[in-house]
Amino acid sequence: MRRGIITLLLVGLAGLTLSAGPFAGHWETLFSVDPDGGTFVDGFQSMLTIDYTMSTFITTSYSEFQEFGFLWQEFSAAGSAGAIDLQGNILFGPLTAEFLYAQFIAEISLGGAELGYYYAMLGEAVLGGPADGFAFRLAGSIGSMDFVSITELGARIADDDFDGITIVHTRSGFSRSYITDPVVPGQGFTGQKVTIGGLSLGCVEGIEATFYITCGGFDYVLFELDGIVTGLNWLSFDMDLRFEVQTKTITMTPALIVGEVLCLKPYFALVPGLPSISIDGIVLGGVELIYRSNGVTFRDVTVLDAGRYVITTPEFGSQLVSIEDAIASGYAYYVDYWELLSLEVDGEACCGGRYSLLINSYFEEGSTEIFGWSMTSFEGWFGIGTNTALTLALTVDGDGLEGMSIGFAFDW
Amino acid sequence: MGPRIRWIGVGALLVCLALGLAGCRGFWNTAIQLPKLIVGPVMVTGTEGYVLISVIDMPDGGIASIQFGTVGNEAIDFADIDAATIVGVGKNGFVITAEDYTTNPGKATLLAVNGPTGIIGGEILRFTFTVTGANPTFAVDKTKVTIADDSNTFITVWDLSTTDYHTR
Repeated sequence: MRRGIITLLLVGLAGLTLSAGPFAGHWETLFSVDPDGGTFVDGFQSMLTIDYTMSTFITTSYSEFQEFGFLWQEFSAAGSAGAIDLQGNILFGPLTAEFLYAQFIAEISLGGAELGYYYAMLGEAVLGGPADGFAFRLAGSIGSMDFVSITELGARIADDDFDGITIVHTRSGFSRSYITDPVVPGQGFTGQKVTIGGLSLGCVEGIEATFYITCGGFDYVLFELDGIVTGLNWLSFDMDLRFEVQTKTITMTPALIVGEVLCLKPYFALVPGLPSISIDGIVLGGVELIYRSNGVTFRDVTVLDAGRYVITTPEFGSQLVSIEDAIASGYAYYVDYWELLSLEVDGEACCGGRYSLLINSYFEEGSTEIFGWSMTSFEGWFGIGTNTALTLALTVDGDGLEGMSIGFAFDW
Repeated sequence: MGPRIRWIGVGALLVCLALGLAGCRGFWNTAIQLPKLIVGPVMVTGTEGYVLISVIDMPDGGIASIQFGTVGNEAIDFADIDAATIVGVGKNGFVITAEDYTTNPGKATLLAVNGPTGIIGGEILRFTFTVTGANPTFAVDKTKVTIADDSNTFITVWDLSTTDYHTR
């Protein structure tokens, strides 16, 4: 089995590499250096993407290497055959020489209606596998009313209520995400979801109703009312009313309307009381100052309610968000920092390339450094021409240079 | 779009629909997935190592607290790891409120809670440490672990997993 998979991998890679034709690609590699560690280079990652265009189709090979080995190999194809849009993905785990996941999607638009077919298969190397299944999606509009019907035959597809499937390498935590999830209990018909939206009343901006049954029977019906007008120009709220077989759940989400913000942005939040449909007060969770001029962006983010708000890591935009929102969105965030000073510079570099610099300084409660300074990170991107770039990242804390990484990116 | 192409597309979709509704079902009858606590194998880079602990399919608002035994009845057994260097960090809102890695050699216990919300799927804990041997291990004894959901009710039916890949 493993020998076959390795052979398939090699044939696929060789096929993409050796085929004559219009190739395009992107290669990005990063080395991490630990100044205090026993080994000089303590991290490595490299991502290679090769695109090959054939008529209306683009086939892609994506290879990802980490310091512990060859982590992901994905082959994908996307294009159209006449009016039908087609997409396919197949994912392997070269570390263990295993097939992990495959997905096929066909979509067509006819007279304002969208029809889609989604198939997925999960390999037995993945917890929950082997599994497979497919789903049909029909969407359209009648007047101002939108409707979506999803018929599930062993698979679910991503929508507003469902995130699809994420395959995680358990040891490292690295992951890949896809639309079609075949890990659905049962075989044959497993579910039917109907969503009707685009409805409105004078006092409610948007009304959406979702009805979902599974092969086990009625699952839930959900009514979502967004932007309910209260008569107060600073307050609106959303209401979700969900009925399950034996339970009814009402979720009220009040929202403050604070108007247009120019450069100093306050983050107000309503404090829910007990019972949860009451409001105990308004809290100022933080303040963000933004100033932009000639490719220079300065930001100052202050967390005023550390138990409720956090600053996300640079990979997630260094945003000031509530902890609940950070968790729900899957953002990584810093727990201890109450202040961020950020300077970002973007400009033209040599030979038509561009450069960008990002310097973030963080401050925390209890730090013995000046002004409570805790850590500064520096990220630089230096374009050499339009196809090549060098990257440099440094992290400095009270003990000195904490980490450093260098890398390059190349497009052709 | 030519009418022939359009009808080919409609025909293809109708065939797929007919096959599906006629019972041309998948190969596998997927079983109901129990909630799982997933303990990753030790990841080693040089002399440093780490272990990730994740959950999937946690019911009733998700996992909000977890206890790995007690001192003297620890749920975690480790080897070839320097106990003095173990640092546990909560993820996705989890905070470690009590921990002990050194009282009994090769044994660890801790309590972690999530104040803001329960976690249905995702990483909840990460342990970093210095490895001291060629085969570092970090194993969890399921019988000594207790898990509670977002309503402070024990989740009693769950599995322990150490597979190479999982989904969420």
